Amino acid sequence: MTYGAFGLVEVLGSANAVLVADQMLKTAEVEFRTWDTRCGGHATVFMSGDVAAVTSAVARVSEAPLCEVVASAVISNPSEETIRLVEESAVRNGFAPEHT
Amino acid sequence: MAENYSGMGIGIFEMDSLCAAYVALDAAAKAADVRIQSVERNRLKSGACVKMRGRISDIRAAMEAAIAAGEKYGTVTAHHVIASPAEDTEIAMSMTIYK
Repeated sequence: MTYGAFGLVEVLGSANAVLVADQMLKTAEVEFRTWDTRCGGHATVFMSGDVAAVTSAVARVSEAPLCEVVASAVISNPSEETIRLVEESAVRNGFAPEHT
Repeated sequence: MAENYSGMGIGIFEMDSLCAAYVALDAAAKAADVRIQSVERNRLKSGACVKMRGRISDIRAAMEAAIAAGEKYGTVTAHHVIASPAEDTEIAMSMTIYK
């Protein structure tokens, strides 16, 4: 699977992560890939889609934040290693079926 | 993971933000032919430690690219390159993955 871009948004806690993911899903044509909520109470949400949609979603979240956004980044045209890591994280968190 | 990395050079760096770690590892993977062994969270604010494996020349190029890209998003707290790791270093590298 290849993705146009990954959008990463880091917030405090899983509740804010769901809030931010929902806001991004409504803002642009993006998909929820996975999240990482393991350490330190920070949760990082990974969204994917084409570069324009991901950029506008991340911009919308950081300009009109519904909660405190610690950090955000857009990785355009991710390499195979990044895609492999994100997909493995999705499988580990149960967001993607085993066989992908 | 199941991948056999023994004998490959090690490039390991740690950052205080997971976003920065992913931006850095993406830049590293694009800069040179390196395999990312794992990304492990640590307690530095919301940081992560990234372990890269590959030939030593690729690891050096990837490390430079990673630090250059990562510094815009977070601070690199530590970064090391090990040319030819000892046998038992493999155990140290793989035992903390996804614990």
